[in-house]
Amino acid sequence: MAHDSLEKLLVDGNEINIVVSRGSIIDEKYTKEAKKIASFMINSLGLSFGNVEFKMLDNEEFAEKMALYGTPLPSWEAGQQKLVQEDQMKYRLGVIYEMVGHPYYNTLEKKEYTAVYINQNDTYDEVLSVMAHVYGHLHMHYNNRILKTIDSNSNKHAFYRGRYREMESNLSIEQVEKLYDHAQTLSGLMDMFPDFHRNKKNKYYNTEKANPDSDVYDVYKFTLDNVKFNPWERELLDMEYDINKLMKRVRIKIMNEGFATFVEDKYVEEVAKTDIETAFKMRKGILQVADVLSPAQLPYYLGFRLFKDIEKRWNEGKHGPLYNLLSDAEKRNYVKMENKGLTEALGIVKSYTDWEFLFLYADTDFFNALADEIKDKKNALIDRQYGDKYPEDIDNIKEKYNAKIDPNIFRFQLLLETENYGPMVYVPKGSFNGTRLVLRQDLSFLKRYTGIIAEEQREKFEEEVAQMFNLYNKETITALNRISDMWGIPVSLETMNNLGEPITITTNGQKTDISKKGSGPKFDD
Amino acid sequence: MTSELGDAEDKYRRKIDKEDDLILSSIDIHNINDGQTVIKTIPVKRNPMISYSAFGEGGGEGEGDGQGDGQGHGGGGKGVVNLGIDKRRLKQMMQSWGLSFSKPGKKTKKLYKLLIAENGVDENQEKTIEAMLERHMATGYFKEHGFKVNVTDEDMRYNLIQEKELPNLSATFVIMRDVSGSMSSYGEFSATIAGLIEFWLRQRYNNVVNIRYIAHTTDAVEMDSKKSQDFFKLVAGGGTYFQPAYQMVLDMMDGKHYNSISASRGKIEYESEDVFLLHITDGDTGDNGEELYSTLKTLFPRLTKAFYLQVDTYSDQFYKAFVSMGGEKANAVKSGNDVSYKNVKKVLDSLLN
Repeated sequence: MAHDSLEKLLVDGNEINIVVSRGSIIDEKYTKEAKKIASFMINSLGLSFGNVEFKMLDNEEFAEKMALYGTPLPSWEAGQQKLVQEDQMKYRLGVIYEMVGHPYYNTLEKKEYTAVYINQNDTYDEVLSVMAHVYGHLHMHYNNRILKTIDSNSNKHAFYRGRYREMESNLSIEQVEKLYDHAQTLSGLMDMFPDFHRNKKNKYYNTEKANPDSDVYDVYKFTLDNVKFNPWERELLDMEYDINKLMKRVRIKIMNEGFATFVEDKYVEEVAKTDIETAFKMRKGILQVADVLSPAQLPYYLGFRLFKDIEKRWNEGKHGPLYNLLSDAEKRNYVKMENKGLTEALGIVKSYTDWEFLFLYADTDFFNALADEIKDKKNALIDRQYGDKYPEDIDNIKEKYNAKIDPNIFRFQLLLETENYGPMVYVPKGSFNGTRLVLRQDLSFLKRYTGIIAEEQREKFEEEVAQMFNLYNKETITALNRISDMWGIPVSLETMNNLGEPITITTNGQKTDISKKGSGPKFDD
Repeated sequence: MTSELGDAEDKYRRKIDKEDDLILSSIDIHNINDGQTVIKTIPVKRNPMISYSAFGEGGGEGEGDGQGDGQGHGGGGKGVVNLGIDKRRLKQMMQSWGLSFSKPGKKTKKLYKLLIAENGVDENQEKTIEAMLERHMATGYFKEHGFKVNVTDEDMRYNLIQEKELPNLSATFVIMRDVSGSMSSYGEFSATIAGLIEFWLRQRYNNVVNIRYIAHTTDAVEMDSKKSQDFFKLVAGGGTYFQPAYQMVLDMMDGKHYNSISASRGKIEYESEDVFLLHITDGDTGDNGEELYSTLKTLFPRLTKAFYLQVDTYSDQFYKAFVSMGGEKANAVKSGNDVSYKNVKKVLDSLLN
C-alpha cells in the first residue's frame, strides 16, 4: 500500500503526473526517481506544481531550446545564441544543467504539462539533484503572482515563428531583420517595474491638457501608440513586445534561483539520512554554484544565503517588532523555537518580488556577515597565492584587496547587479507635441534605496553615481539613432556625463548633438 | 532534429559576412586552399540599447555556469562564437558575393559535339534529337532562327543521355607581383586577393591549377611555387619595369630560357590549357613604350583572362592601355590597401565578373 501512495501525487486534491522522456521513449528509471523526489517536495516541504515532463536532450537540442526560449523568432540573433550555447556546452565552458520551458497541452492525455529540459550528459546524481532544483522553480511558476501573469507558451511562439517566416518570404530578410533589430533596441525601454514608479495623482477636476498625461515609463508601448506603422511592422513589433515580456522574470531572478537552490539543499539533507556519499556529491554541486560570487551567479549566491538566513531566524523566533527592540547582547542569546522557517519561505515566494525580498529580509547583519565571509575567502586566496613569496607584505596586500569590501558599498553594488537590468527611462508628462520625442533618465530609486545621505559622504556618493549611472556612451547614441529612425523625428535624452553634469543628447538619426542644457536625470520622486 | 530555428544560423553567418566581423587573413585563405578548416573567433553581436557607461562596452564575465534556467537572456550575452570555415563555406561566401562557379552553356556544347561526332549517335540520343526537332517544327523555331541546335531539359525527358564528363581542362595561374620598395605594405592585401582568386580557380578547374609566381622590379624572376607565403613578403629596392615580367610569361609559353629560382620550372601549355594572369602593382612604372605594348599584343590572345590590380593611384596610363588592349579578356581595378569585407568584395567583383 505504501508503494501506491508513493505513486499518487496529490496537489491541492488533484492528482498530477510526472514523466521523464528521452526522445519519444519514457525513461522508467528516472520517472520513478522523479516521482519520489516530487513526493518528498509535496508532502514534506509543502510545495505545489502541475504536471511535469522532463525531457532529456543532447547538447545540440539543448542549445536550440535555449536559443528559442530567449529569442523565439528565427532571426540572426537566435542563430548566434544557438552557436554560443552549443560551443559552451561542447567545450564545457559553462555547463547548463536545466531549463524550465513553457507549458504545453498534451492532447492525448488532455492535460497541461510544463516542459523541463535536462542535459542528458549529466551524471545520475546530477540529474536527481537538478530535478530537486527544478521543483523549486516549478513551485514558483505555479504560485508566484508575477510568474503567473506571463502567458507565454510554445504554441504561441510557434505561430509567431510562422508569421515571421511569412513576412520574410513576402518582403525580404533584410527588411524584416532591420525592424527586428530596431524592436530589440526598443525592448530595453519596456517597463518591467510598473508598480515601482510613484505616480502623482491627478487632481479630481483636471482641466490641463498634457500629452502624455502622466510620465510614461513604457517607451515601447508609447511608440506603438504614437507612430504610424505599416500593418506588418505593427504586427512584428507587437510580437516582439509580447515575447520580451518574458523579461519580467528578472524581477524575481534572485528569489527564483535562491528558492530552487534552497529546496535542492533540503532534498540533499533528506538524501544524507540514507546515502551520505551521494549527498556529499550533491552538496558539492550546490556549493559550486551558490558559493562563488560572480555576476552570473549572484542570484544563486544571494538568494540561497538569504533563504537559509530567513529559515534560521524564523525557526529560532528571531524576528518581529519585539525582537527588534532587544539589545545586541540580548538578541544573541534569544532563542524561541518556533520552526516557522519553511512556512515563511513559502509565503515569500508567493507574492514578493526581488525588491521586496531584499528590502524586507536582508538586514544590515546579513550584509555584514556576507562581507566578512568574502573577506575571509579573499584572505585565504591571498595566503595561498602570496604566502610563500611575500610573507612580510601579506598584511598590506590583504588590506589593499579588502579595502573595497564595505557592507554598504556591497549593498550598492547589489542594487546595480540585481534591480537594474537596464536604465529606467521615461517620457515626461506633457513633453510630447509630435515634433520631438523627449526621454529622461530616472534615478529616483537611488534615493529610496540609500535613504538620506550624510553631508560629508554626499560628494563621494554623487561622484560614484555619475561614474556608474551616466548614459553618455556610444551604444546609447546608436540606440537613440535607431529610435529616431523609427519615429521619424528627433529624439532627445536627458542624462548626465561622467562628472555628473546634466547633458542632453539629441539625434535625428544621422547627426548627434550634445548640449549642456536640460535638467538631467530625475533624482527625486 | 526538428529545426524550429530554420535557417537562423545561416542568417547569422550572412550577417557577419556582411558586417566586417569575419575577416579572413591571407594565411587563413592559404590554409583553406590547402583543405584545412580554419576556426575564427567572433565577438557576440548585440543590438545596441540605452545602457550605463559602466556596462556599455567591454567588461563583464562569461555567461552562466551553473544551473541557469534560461531566464534573463537579455541581460548578458557576452562571449564569443567559434566558426569553422572550410572550402565549402568559403565557396558559399564567394557565391553570396555574386561570384559564379558554374560554366555556362556546358550542356549544349557537349551535345553539339556528340551530334557532329563521326561515330554517329546512339538510340537514346536519337530520341532526344527527334524530340527537339518535333518541338522546333511545331513552334516554328527554325523559321525564325534557322537550323540551330537548342536542346532543353524537356527534350531530354527520356533522360537517357549519359553525360560523360569531359576531362576538365587544367589551368595555369600566373601571379605577377611588383616587389619594389613602394609595394612593401601591400603584401597582406595582395596575398588575400591572390588567395581568393586561386580558390575560385581551384573550384572551377577541379583543383587542377598550376600556380607560377613572378616577382619583378626592373628585372623579373620566377619564385618557388612551394613557398607562396614568402612570395608576398618579398621586398626589393630599385625602380620598376613591366616589360621584363610580361616578356617572361611569353618565354614560359614558348619554352625559352628565363630567369628562375623555382625547382618546378616548365613550359606553359597555353594551347591545351587555360592561362590566367594576375598582375599586382602600384602602377608606378618606368616603361610605357612600344616594346611593352607589343609584348602585350602578343600575350593577350594566348591568355584566357588577365587581371590587373593597381593598389595605388600613381598613374593611369598603363591601366588604360591594359584595359583597351585586353578588351574582354582584361579586367582591371584600382583599390586601396584595405582587407575589409566590403573592399575585398569590390575588388573581386570587378576582377572576376
